Amino acid sequence: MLSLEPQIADRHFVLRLFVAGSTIRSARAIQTIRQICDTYLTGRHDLQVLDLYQCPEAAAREQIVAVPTLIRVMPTPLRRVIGDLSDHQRVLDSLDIGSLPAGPPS
Amino acid sequence: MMTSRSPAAADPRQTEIDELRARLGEAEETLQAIRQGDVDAVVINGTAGPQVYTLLNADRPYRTIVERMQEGALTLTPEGTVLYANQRLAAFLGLGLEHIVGHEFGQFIDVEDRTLFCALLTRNDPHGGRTELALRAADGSPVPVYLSMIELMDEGRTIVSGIVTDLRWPKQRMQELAEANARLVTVMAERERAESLLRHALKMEAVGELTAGLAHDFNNLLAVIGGNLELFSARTGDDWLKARVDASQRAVERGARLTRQLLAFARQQNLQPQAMAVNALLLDIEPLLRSAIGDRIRLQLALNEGLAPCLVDAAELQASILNLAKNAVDAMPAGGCLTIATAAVTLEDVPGQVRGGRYSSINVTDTGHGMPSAVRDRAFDPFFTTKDIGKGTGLGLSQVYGFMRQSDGYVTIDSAAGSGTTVRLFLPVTDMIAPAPAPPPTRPARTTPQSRRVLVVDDDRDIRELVVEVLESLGYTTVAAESGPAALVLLDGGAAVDVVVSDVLMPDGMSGFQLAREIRRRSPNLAIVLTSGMTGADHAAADVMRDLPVLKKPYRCDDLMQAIESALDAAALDRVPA
Repeated sequence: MLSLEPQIADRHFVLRLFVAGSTIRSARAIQTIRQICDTYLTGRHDLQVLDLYQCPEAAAREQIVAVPTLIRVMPTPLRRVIGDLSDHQRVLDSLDIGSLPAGPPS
Repeated sequence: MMTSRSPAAADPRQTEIDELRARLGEAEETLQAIRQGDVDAVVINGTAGPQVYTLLNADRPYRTIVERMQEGALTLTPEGTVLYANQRLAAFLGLGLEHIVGHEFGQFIDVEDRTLFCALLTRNDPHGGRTELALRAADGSPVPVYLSMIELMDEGRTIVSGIVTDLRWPKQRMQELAEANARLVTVMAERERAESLLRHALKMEAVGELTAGLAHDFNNLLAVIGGNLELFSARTGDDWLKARVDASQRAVERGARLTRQLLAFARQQNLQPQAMAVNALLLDIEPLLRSAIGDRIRLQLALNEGLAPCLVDAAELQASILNLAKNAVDAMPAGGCLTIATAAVTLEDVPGQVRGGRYSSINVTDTGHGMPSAVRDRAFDPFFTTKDIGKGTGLGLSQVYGFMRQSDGYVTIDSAAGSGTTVRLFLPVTDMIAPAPAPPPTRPARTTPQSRRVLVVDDDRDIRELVVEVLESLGYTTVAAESGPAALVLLDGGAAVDVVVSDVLMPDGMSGFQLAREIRRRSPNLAIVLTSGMTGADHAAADVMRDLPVLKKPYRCDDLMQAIESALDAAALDRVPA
C-alpha cells in the first residue's frame, strides 16, 4: 500500500450501496459502510443506499448482478465489492481505504 | 484482491491488463458470493428489462412487518373477495384467517356501512380512497375502523390493497375527553351559579342596609307627623279640618306600611318567632285566601301531613302567603289555578349559602304567564315591579325575602315565561312543640291613667315632646329624659315612675334594650315599653329581652296607651305572689 497515489488520501468518496430490502445482510452492510465512512471519510464522502425493489432501473444501469454490492463511484477507477460486507478489512482493502489516516485531512 | 497501481504502470497495455485483472477479480468474487449464498438477490437483465430474483427469504422482513404492524392489511379482488389478510385484521374480527380469506370482505362490515364500502371499492380512483366505517366482529361487537384502499396492478391483474386502522382507542379517548369536558362545563356552570348567587346576596345585603337606615329615619318623621296630626285632630271641632287631618293621617299610615315592608326586606323587622304548625296556619287563612283571589282562580291546598313545627313569626308568614297569592292572582288575569303545597325537605349544606338541615317548604304555584329570566333574577329587588304604576310597590317579594332570611329560612323562585311560577319558602324545623292557641289573657282591673307616671326617653326632641304631649293629653303624668344614662339618673334620684317608654336606638352608648336591662336589674317590677323605627340592630339584646313589648313607630296614640297599659298589667301580674 505504500504505492498508494498520494492524492487519493484527500479525495472525495462517492459510495453507492445496493441492497435488497431490509434483510439481515442489508442491515449489516449498511452498518459496516456507515462506520467506515464515519471513521475514515469524515466530511468527504457521499453514501447512497439503494434498494433493488425500489429502483431496479438503477441496478440495471450499474450492471448489478447480485446484492449487496458496494460500488466506489469516486475516486475512479470504479470498484465493486459483492456479497458479505460485514468484514471491515475486506471492504477497506477493496476500496483502497485501508491505509488512509483516520479522521478528516488536516 | 485489488492490485495497487504503481507510477510505473504508465504503459497503456499494462494499465489495460491491470483493469482486466481487477474485473476478473470482481467477477470471481461475485460468483463466489453467489455460490456461498452471501447475496440476497440477483438481477437478471432479460428482454423485459431487469428482473430481481430474491434468494433465500429476502422478503421475509416485509412479511413480518405486514403481519405484526398495528394496522390490518388485506388484498381484495376488484369484486371484494379477500385474497390476503394479515393476522391483525383477523384479530380485529375475532376470526381465524381461514374464515376470512376467500370470503367477501363486505360481510365483515356493519350492515349500515356496507354501501360506504361498496362505493369505495367501485370508485376506480387512481389515488385510492378512504373512509371511516364499522366492522362487525364475530361476537357481534362493532369495531370502528379507518379503511383506506387503493387499486394496484400486479402481473397484469388488478388487485385492491387495503389498510385497516383500529379507531377503538382514539374513539374511547375522545369519549373520555368529551366526558371530562362535560364534567368541566358542569363544574364551571356550578361555579358561575354560585358566584352569581353570592353577587346577588351581597347586593341584597347592601340594599338592605341602605333601606334599613332610610326606613328608620322615615319612621321617626312619620311618628312626629302622625302623632301631631292625632293631637290636632283631638283638639279641633271643625269637620273640614278634621277631614283634611284624616287624609293626612291615612297618608302617614301608608308611609308607615311602606317603611314596614322596607324593614322586612332589610331583615330588621320586630319578629316574634314561635313554634307553629304550618299546615294549621294555612288552613286558618284558607277562607281569607279564597276571598282574596276571587272566583276565577281555583285554590288547591296540598298539605303534607308529616310536617314538623317551624320556628317562625306566624303573622308575618300569613302576610307573606297572602302577598304571594296576590302576585299569583296578578299573573293569572284570565283565571287559573293557585296551588299551595307543603312538604318536608332536607337541604344539603352549601357553605356560605345554605345551612343544611330539615325544613318545611311551602310551595306557592300559579299557572300564570310566568317571568323571563331577566325579571326572575331581579324579582327580590326592592321596588322592582312589572306591574303598572300604582298597582304595586315592588316590595312584596322583597318583604318575603327579608322575612325568610331573618327567620333563618330561604325563598326561591322557579319560573319561565309562559310556564307559571312557583315560589318556595323553606322554613327551619324546630324541636319545640307548637302550642295550642292560648285563650286571651284576662286583664286585671285597670286603674285610670291619671294615677300613672310615665318616664319618656328619646333622643329625638320632636318625638320626645310629642310623646309627652300625647301622654298628657291622655291623662298620664310625665317626666322626660334625652338618653339612657339621663333616665337612670332620674330613676336613681328617686323619680316616682310607674312605666318607662323608651326609644330603642339612641346615642350615648346605651340603647333602649340596654336601658331596659339596667332598669330590670334595679327595679324588676317597673313596667317598660320600647318603641322603635327599627329593632333588628340589637338582636343579641333582643334575644335576652324577648318578653319586652316593642311598639313599632309610627304608632297611634291608642296603640301607645294600650302598650303602656299592657306593660303595667304584666308588671302587676309579676308582682302577684305565687
